[in-house]
Amino acid sequence: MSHARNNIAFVLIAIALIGGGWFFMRAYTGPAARPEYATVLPSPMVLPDFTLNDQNGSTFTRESLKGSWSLLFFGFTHCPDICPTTMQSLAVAREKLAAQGQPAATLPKIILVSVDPERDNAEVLKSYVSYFGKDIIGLTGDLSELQKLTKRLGIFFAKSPADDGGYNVDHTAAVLVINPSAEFHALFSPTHSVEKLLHDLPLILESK
Amino acid sequence: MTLVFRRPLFLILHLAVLIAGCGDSGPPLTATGVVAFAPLPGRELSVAYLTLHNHSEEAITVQQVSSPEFAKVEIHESTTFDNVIRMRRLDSLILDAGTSTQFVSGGKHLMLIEPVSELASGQSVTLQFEYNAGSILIVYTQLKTRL
Repeated sequence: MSHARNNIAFVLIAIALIGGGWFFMRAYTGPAARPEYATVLPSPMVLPDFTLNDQNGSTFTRESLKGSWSLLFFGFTHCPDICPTTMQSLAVAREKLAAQGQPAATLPKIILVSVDPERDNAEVLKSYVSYFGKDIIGLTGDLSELQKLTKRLGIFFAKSPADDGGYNVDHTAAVLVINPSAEFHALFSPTHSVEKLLHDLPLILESK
Repeated sequence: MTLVFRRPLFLILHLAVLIAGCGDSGPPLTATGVVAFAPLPGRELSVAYLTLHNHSEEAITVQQVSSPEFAKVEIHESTTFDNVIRMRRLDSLILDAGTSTQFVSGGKHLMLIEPVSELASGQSVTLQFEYNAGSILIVYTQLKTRL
């Protein structure tokens, strides 16, 4: 009888210790940090096949995205406001991530996909993207190939006539995070800032 | 730095207005936080951001912005809906009495079009805001680099 009572006491003490330990662990560490600004897809979306060209004229496909994280921004070089500001934020954020000790292997590539292939040829893209960093990639190509990518990802773009006879391009200004399996993994909605990217990107990059 | 004066008397009254601008009443329209970026390589466009303040008790209409360093300056507004950004030119801008209007990335901004000569960061540029049919606010700033 006394033996059984001892066993019950032992179990109760064990439960109390485990429960207490769990409570203090939670109190000290808090809930796991989560991205505050980016929307992480519940299941990453496989990208479609596409063939574009980078700023050096080399072929760039879905396979080219495999093996590293990428930040995709759909913009155009005649855009004076949101596009250069976004490219600036991405470049500065990546530099700061590296300075904070983010392993080089997980640092994301920055890729500008032109939604204005008519004006953004490889030469134009080269001078534009190289301003923001030597390893930044600019993509352009046939409209039909571009649309394979944009339609699947829900990226909108359309010409809008300007007063001077030229045109602007209305476009989705989100930044898409592509994981090393070439899947659409997360999305930052505009407007973008270095602070938002720096807060969320380390959490996203360690998730796969 | 901002100055206000009547256009026909531009040169003669420049100094007088400088002094007048320091008086109790002060200029009705001023600008702060002016940032203008040098055009990116190969680009004929750039952008400037700032905040305009209407210190008067009347609404102020900014009819035109110009700069001797650019062929054209336009007021544009970017708007975002459902992650899609659209940019449109504004013919003019009305600042209600006693209000401020911010020009920021993703919102209102000044589009600096076709530099008249090659411009680099550090160079001074002048922005002239023509408002209320004849008054002018002049803003001087140095071009900045993006990185």
